[in-house]
Amino acid sequence: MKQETIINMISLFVVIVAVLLISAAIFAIANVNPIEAFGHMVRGALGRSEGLSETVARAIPLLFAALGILVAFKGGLWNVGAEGQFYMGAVGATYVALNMSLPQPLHIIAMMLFAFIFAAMWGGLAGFLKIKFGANEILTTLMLNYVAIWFTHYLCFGPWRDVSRVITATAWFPETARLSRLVTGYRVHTGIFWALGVTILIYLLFKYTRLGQTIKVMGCNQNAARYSGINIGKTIIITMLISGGIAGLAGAAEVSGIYYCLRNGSYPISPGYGFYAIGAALLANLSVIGTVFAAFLFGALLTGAAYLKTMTGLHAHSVNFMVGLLILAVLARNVFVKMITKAIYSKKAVTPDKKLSDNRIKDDNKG
Amino acid sequence: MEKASLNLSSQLSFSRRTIIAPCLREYLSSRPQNFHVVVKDRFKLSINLIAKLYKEGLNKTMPTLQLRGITKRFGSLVANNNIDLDLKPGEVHGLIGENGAGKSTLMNIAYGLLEPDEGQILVDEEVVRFKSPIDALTSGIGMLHQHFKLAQSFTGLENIALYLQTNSNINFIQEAEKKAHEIKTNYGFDIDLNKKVSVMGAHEQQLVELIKLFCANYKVLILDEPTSVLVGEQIDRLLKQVIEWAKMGYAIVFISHKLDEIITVSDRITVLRKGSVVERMSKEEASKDRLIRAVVGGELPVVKKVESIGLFEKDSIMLRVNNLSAVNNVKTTVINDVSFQVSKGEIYGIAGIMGNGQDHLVDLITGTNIYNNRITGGKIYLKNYDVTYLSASDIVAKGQDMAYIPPKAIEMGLASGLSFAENALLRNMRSFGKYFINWHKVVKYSERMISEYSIAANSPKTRVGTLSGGNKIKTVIAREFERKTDLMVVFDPSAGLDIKSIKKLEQNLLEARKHAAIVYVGDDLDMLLSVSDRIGVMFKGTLIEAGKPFSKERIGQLMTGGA
Repeated sequence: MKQETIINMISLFVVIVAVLLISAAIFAIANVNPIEAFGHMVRGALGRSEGLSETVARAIPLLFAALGILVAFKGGLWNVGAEGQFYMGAVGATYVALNMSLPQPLHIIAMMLFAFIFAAMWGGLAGFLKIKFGANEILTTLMLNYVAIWFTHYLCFGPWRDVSRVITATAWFPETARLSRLVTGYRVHTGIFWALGVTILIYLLFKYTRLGQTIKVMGCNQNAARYSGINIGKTIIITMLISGGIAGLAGAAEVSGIYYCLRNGSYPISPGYGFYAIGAALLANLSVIGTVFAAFLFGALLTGAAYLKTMTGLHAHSVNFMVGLLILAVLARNVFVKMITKAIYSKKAVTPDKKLSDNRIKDDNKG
Repeated sequence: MEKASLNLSSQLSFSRRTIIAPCLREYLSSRPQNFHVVVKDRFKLSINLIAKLYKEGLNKTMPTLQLRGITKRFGSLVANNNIDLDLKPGEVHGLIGENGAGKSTLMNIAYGLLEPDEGQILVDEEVVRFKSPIDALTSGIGMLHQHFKLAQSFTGLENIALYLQTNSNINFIQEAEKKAHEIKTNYGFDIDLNKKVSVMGAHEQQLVELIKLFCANYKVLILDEPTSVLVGEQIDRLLKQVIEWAKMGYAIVFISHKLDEIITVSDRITVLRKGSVVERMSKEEASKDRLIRAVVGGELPVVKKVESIGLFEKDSIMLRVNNLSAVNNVKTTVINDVSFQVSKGEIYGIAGIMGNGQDHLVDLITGTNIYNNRITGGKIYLKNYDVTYLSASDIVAKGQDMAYIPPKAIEMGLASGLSFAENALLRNMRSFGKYFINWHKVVKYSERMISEYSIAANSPKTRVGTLSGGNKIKTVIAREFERKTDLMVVFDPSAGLDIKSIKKLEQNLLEARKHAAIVYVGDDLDMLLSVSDRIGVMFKGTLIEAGKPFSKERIGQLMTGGA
């Protein structure tokens, strides 16, 4: 157990060093001093109070979305539709914000609830299609992203548009529907507490509840789950409902904490948080606590990239590759784990031990 | 001499069978005094061999493939123990033995899927080393696998073309077609190769595989239980064809569990038991009785009489199966009119060679339905509940719980990425809390399981995936026995267990009988005879009740389709 943790840590370290090295090479090709570039990124994300605030502000939706994705991944379901669920959550929250008048805490709670329900339906739809028609959830969730994004677009241009505003967007939210800022002048808002609260709930879900255990078993071995009398169809639906719902909270936090309105696609409310969150969940190796740090890291990466862009004139996209690299490297991490494990166990040539290590390698590949 | 040796080696590598003997004859007659010279080339022909070759010449056929002293171990299990096997052209070599006797391991070694720990493989008298099946294939050894390796969305012809991988990139389909047509006419195969494999029946798929093998011009054909996917007439046709092929000069290994088939086709028979060769016989010497005895082991079966404690009142019937029939997803009948019932206080043994429908039967009874079979008739009752069409989760929801050790206990019965405690919880989550899991209780429970069943896990937190195969199986056994349900379905998990654990399992079964009705499926006759109160034998999807008194031979006969 302890050895496994060490191996995981080493492989994580190898991954990050590899990403940094490749990034450095590409910065060098783009005529930017790599050391300086990394310096800008770190300073931009963590070194200034604006940067730190921005990093945390970005980590909030990332954390929600990554937690949602994590729930599905734990159940062996590839929910890549967090982006769409994010938008549906934003739509649900906006509906409550504009159409209900409630006192301060209740209004936010109602918004979160509606966001959860809207997005849960969106995720649950993919689950339903999977069990009813065997539709691959990777495809359905991915495609539903676009439906959700363009649906939001339609609402902003059509029925929900506030014509008095310069940009095509809904009216401003009332004060009661806004998550208050933690520090005046900075964008970081109280959504962070919601996000951490949900983190604790998810942690408890997997640690202590039968439902969480059921999801884990299904994710680990679906045949074993069926054998142990778990209703696979029902569990898939429930998992996707929870997964989508939590990802949807990200959208609610974003509209009520940052923008105070729902905006159309030209001024998107998400730079692709739903996709970055997949990387965050994988980087955390599907550990709930690890997700908090991974979300923070991705938030920092995005903020640092934006700062780097302003400082060096590199195009924003030329910075996105770092995120891409990181995700790629995280996925390739199992190869490192396998290599390290093999290196350790090949020294112990005793046959039973070797068999044990082989099994371990196999299992690591599965996990 | 230098020159002659050089010559020899170059010619040897050029064409072994046709040139080797005349060349050697010439070489040796010119230099009879150099008998102690070992030819230095990569084939490392010893002088003894040269002498032998010289003596026998080419008139007598040499073994095409020889396995010498093959030993293969998996951990502490010796799968093959010093096995010798010669395959000669024009001869069918029958290979028979129980499951786990080491047939597959041996053939996988011959086919290059496994490397032996000890021993040599010789092709045409040369020592070769198979690192992968590619090496075996280039040496002319082809294998018909039990599970076909065909691309389902391709036609038969496309599959053949894919396999042949000719040099031409443009005409390779036409080339394959030409070749396949030739093979079809020469060997009398009747098949439409333009059909997609996915719509072909099992025997058609087998024909595609066979055409693949013949197109590739192999000298040695390994047929791994080729008749297991066939029925009735198809079997007879195949057996006739196998004999024909041997006459054409192929060296054939024929693996089967069916005694009749082995006796019909084989020129020589080798019997394996527990990894060793226990008997070799020629066609003339072979008889069904002798084969049964050799396969099963032991001349006189010692039946340990275990009287059931008997609770056979009507209301103690826990499981009733009435005229159950089922088909698989390609509409082949897998269960054919099976009826039996089991009462509290008895163990109902289901014997049979694996692959005769036992796994499908327990799969249907427990509602797990891994195989996606469809029930075409009959009923299954647990106590008095009709559970015929219910899934495992429905059965659990109805409160009709049973303990179940599934076939492939490790793959199906465990979530190997999770901890021991989580696996102990797997099938009885309900008893540890309705919504929240009482981990304290689970850990206590797991610790007791670990010590009582002597499972080599450090703590309940140990990940099950890190345990050895035997301990994984013990985990499943422990969990299912500890649940103390009144119905148990046990699919023999003893294959990966050591003797001590098997004895413990036996004891567990007999103890559990006090409170439960037990269905025990297995193919180890010793175990079946010692625990069962009644025995049914499954053969090709049907269940035949074996009358008392049981005898190993009687059941062995029923298992292989004898009346």
